[in-house]
Amino acid sequence: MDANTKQPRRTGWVILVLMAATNFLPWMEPLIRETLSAELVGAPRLRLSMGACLLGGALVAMCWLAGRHSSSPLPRALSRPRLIGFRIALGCAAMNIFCGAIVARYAASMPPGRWSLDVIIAVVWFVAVLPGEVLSSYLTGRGTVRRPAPEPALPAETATREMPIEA
Amino acid sequence: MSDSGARTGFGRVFKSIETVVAMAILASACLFAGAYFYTILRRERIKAAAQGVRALVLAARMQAVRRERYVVLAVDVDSREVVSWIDDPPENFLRDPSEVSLGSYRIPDSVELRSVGGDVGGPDSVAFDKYQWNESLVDRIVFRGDGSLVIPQAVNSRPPVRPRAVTASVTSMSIHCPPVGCRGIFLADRSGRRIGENVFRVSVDDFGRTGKVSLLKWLPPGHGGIAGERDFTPPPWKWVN
Repeated sequence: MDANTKQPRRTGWVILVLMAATNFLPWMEPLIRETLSAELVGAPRLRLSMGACLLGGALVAMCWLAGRHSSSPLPRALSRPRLIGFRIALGCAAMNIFCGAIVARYAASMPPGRWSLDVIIAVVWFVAVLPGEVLSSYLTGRGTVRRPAPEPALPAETATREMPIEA
Repeated sequence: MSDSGARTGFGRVFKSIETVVAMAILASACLFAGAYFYTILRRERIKAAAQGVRALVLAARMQAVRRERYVVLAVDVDSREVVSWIDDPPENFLRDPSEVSLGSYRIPDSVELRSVGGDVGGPDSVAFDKYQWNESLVDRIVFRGDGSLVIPQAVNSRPPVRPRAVTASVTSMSIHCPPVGCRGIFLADRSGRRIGENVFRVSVDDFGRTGKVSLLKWLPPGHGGIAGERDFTPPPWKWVN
């Protein structure tokens, strides 16, 4: 019984690592693409890409921790936080891989300009992927802590006690 | 007891699942960042070196035109120093004590002077040899006052030829450097201790006599080059590793 119930719960860290690792694809593939041209990769560009990846990783870790230590009630729609978090994480990782593949394939043939493919993908990442990762890691964190339903006979402090389990 | 207590404290901190997860995220970020950084750094280093040499060649030509004088750009293969100067009359293409340097560039240690299939610092690594029928005048580019190139006379310093065909990889601005050699300053990267297969070529007057400076990269075998040819192509470049 233990093996069956604990096995899927140990995938939590894989979900987080998956998101943190795939963040590099949409941000680093444009730089790799730039090495194919005669121009050198600019330092601000490198800082922006690395900063975005590190920001993503840090937010994922912090939101997961926040989720683990949070005691506020979740809306009914998020009654299964771990499963929802896992699904959002998979979606974010797929989006990252898709964006990276698009950049690697088409960025060189796109004309440079204000709304070049790199800029569009950066906007999509900040608007859609990063918030998704934040939500996913928070929900995954929430899903790693089992909170027993409060029993009317017990005092309030016992009822809200958290029982940490494995990630 | 204290040892046991210390172990308990250590264990409490480092066996905590939160620390493990944070470490896993950090490790994955470092792994991916390191892999991407290594690739970008290696490519940018040789590109920067090739651009540095090209910029100095362009500057030498510009100075020749501006001053309407002969300008020589010499590459010292041993010290890896590239120096240009105005060659005062009588033009001997040698740097006399009175001739001051116009510009210089030191080729970084991560980049080697080496032609395709040649030795590091070999005779073909800088193929601008033999001027005024003097065999000792090697490894230098000479511009006239009108910006045109003084043609080097060595066999390995001949201009390249056009590739047999134009393909998706071998574009119209590409060149084929025959086995006897073609003129150019060849820069190769280093992969650990061994020499890498990414070779850049800085040259003048590939086709024509206008003094045009070019920067091309060797198309290694298996990357779409024409069979039996040593093709050098303009960007987008194909990288090995």
